[in-house]
Amino acid sequence: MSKVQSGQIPDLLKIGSIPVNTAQDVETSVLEPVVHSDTFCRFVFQNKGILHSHSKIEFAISPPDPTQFAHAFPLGVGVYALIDRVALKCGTKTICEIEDFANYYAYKSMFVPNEHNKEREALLNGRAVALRPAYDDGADTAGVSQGGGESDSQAVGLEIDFTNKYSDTNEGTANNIDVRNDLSKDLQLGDQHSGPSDASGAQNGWQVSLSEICPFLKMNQLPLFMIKEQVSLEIHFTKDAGSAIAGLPGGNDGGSSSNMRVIAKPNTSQVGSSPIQTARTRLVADYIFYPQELMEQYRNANKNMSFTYVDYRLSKMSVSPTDLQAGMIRNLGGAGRIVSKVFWGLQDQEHNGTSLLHNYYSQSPLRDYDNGNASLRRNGTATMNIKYNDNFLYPIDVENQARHFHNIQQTEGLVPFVNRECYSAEGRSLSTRQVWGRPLRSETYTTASSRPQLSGQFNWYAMRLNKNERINSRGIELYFKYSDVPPARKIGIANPPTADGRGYVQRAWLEVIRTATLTDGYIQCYYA
Amino acid sequence: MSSNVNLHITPSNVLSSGKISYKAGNPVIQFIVGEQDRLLLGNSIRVCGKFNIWKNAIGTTIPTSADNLSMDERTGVYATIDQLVIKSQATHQVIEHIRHYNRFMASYLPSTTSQQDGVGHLSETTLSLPNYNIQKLSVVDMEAGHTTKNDFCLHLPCGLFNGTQGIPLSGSGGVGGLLIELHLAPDNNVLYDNKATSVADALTDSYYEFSDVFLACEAVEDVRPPGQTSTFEYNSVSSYFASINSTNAIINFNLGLSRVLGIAMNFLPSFMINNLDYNGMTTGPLTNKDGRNCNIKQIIFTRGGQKYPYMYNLDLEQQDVPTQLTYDPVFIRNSLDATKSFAKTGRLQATTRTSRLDNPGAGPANFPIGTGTGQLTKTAEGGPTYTLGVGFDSISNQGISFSTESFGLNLITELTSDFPHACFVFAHAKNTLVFGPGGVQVLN
Repeated sequence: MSKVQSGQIPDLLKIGSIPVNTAQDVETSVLEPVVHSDTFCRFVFQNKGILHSHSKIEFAISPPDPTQFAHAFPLGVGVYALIDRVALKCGTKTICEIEDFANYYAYKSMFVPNEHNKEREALLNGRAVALRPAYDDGADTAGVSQGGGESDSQAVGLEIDFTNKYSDTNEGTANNIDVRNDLSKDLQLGDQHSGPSDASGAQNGWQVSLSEICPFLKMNQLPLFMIKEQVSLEIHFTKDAGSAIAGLPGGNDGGSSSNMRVIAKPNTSQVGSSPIQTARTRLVADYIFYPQELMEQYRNANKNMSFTYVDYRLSKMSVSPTDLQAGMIRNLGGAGRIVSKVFWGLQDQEHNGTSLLHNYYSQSPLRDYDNGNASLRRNGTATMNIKYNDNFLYPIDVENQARHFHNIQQTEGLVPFVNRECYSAEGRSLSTRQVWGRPLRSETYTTASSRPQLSGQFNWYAMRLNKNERINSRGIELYFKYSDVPPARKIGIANPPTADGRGYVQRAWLEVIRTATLTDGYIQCYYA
Repeated sequence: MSSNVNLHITPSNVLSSGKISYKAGNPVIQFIVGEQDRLLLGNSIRVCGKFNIWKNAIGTTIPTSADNLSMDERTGVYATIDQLVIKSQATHQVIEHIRHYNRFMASYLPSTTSQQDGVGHLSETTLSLPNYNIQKLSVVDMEAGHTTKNDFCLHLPCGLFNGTQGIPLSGSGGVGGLLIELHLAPDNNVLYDNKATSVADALTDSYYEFSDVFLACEAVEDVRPPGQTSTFEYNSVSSYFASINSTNAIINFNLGLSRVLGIAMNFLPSFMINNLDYNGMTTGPLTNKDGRNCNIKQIIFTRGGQKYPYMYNLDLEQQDVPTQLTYDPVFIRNSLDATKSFAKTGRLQATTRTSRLDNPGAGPANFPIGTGTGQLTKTAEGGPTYTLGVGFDSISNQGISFSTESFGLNLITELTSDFPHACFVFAHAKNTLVFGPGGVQVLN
């Protein structure tokens, strides 16, 4: 056999760089977790071939009440709401790790186009925030308030484009003529979304992609056949309900013991925990193989490999509405690191399963469109800037919400598929139609069910640190100020609740550059 | 290490009030991106600010849903930009000038974005939404219009800014800074009464207004040695205007461009231009005075008097079946080819509801106009996407020369009533910008 030159050996880890005549074989293994409880599971990969980054993990849960269509995954993140923390480990070393994963993924989910949400994500992982114009497409001639006003071109606003299972709250009443047109029509989620048992007793199963939960795998494929250590994936799950009714609605307006996994239909009579069906959790791992000779050549030619990748570091802080209005400077860390971007959002700690997005959202400044004096109606403002290495990123603090939105686009290189009212609560583009009796938009914050479910709930911020500099010892400072925010939600089952809420949490993630080296089968990780 | 910087540039001609409106006599917004040793990243340029619409002349009343005041839902804030002019700040030489920029965007957006883009990110950045009523409720009838108004953050699609190369701002070996001018459109071409009764509805004083306008962009250090002559290639858009009023409509232009990639055009009944009763941004099909369909039956493109790029006549479906109410697929494909190669088109707004020659939502007549009973605008999914176009070179992407030969278009139509239509023509061509110590030169 002629000797192979190093230049002739293809880069097996880079998708798209393999010559088309290279034989490739994919072997699929179904891995059971080696450890699995309702709070944690660990998968251990077999050290063979190259791990395909789009391998999938399957989950299923037992709904709190399997006799009712009354529970669903949060619409923004779907089954990813189960994941609280995820870590990819090699031996005892952590390659990448993300905390508060479901919140992190609420931000990442904004970049999924609506059509993908509707046609793919809703089925694979339960994400279902796609919008469509709600047309007055009925056939009667009654007024719009009664659902009439025939038009297949005039839309009254946007509604969730998930299923046509809308019920009519006016059905059977004297004024009700046409079901399809009713402005108060109400989307029923349960049966399509998380559903009770079917005849065989099985609930829907859902899947998540490895590359989605481990950003390392988005850019690299793991050459498991070259690694001598154990490669494992650890997943910590979000909190289940602490007791029979803790945290879920049915008159209960939340609390610290909330079920962080599912949302529930209001007034669901019997609610409780939603445990993970451990017997159905599995990892469908695809291992890629090339001819043995080629893989050996590759191993010999790459005794020292290095991977550059990004990891996300969470920094979170409780903050009161008063402090938000006064303006704050917060140190996010990052000293000595190369940080390429920062993104952050604001969550009410008591925002829970009574809301369509659960706690996986970001609150916009308060808007007040119900003020009796029209000249005082307003949208609150959020003023932001970042300072690092003694310089501000933007010469003038950013206040314009559309500019904030654009900054996300500049940061990620992708456009967020989020409607204006959903992002900044500006304008009335959402319809008054509901989901499970909850309004998509609202100006009322007194009760959980009257709060806006989509309006101003995707108000994430992001900034790209465009100088490619190492952060100095002072770290990154976030300057932020909100003119108004909605009152923090309160604890208790009274309606409206009486006790004060715990306020807001601001979560910020730093995208830091890391490097992993693979030398003689052993991986080392360090910050770039 | 890169040394990108974010720039924040306020208009050089803004009044002390910070408000800008056509009605108040400020029809031009001018930004100066100063001469500096940096490369301007064209795709990072955004015009930001606040946008508001007032119902009365003194700017104290916000329109409500009871008023019929609307604006074009697809183009959003783009509807307010009549001309985009980009000049060298040092020499004032025009680098790119797009007239009827809003009409260009009315055809460009449906060819490059989808309805879901309209529902999503475009609603935040350009204030467009894919339904006339939602756009009105959200933007025109802005509840917070007295205080915080509509925020917008607008990219300016044009040849120079869509390019991937950085634009050298240096005075020696660059353009010497940029002067960006936005010429605003008249209020009555941006706003309209959706019942065509603006006088009776007391909307004749309504106007739009900008405030807190600034230009945001990013620039990167220019590491090239100074004083060198270099070239910069970009795709430009040149605009032309004609009118047609015949069953045998003929358009002929000396484009004066040497590397033309495609030509697109849209139409509007002439009386609807600057008419507060009608949407001046709509891109509907040709129509007769009484609202009857006006089919285009045959299209012939010519170059220098010879058929080109098709060596044959394009007979549309309506030639044989006049009652066919959807656009001919060839018509749609050619219009997309004019902007972007059809094969590369990923997102577009042409659907079965926006590609119709009638308007089911407006009643029994087809696009009734002039009577006030219906409008081209009351259509689903953002309205019609009637753009006539042709691509000349989707393979080499080098374009076809029209520098010495004229472009011609021959349409056989059913325009039998005396009803002139404005025809806005846009030529998409490659340009080369040469700059150096001697100045700036644009090679068409």
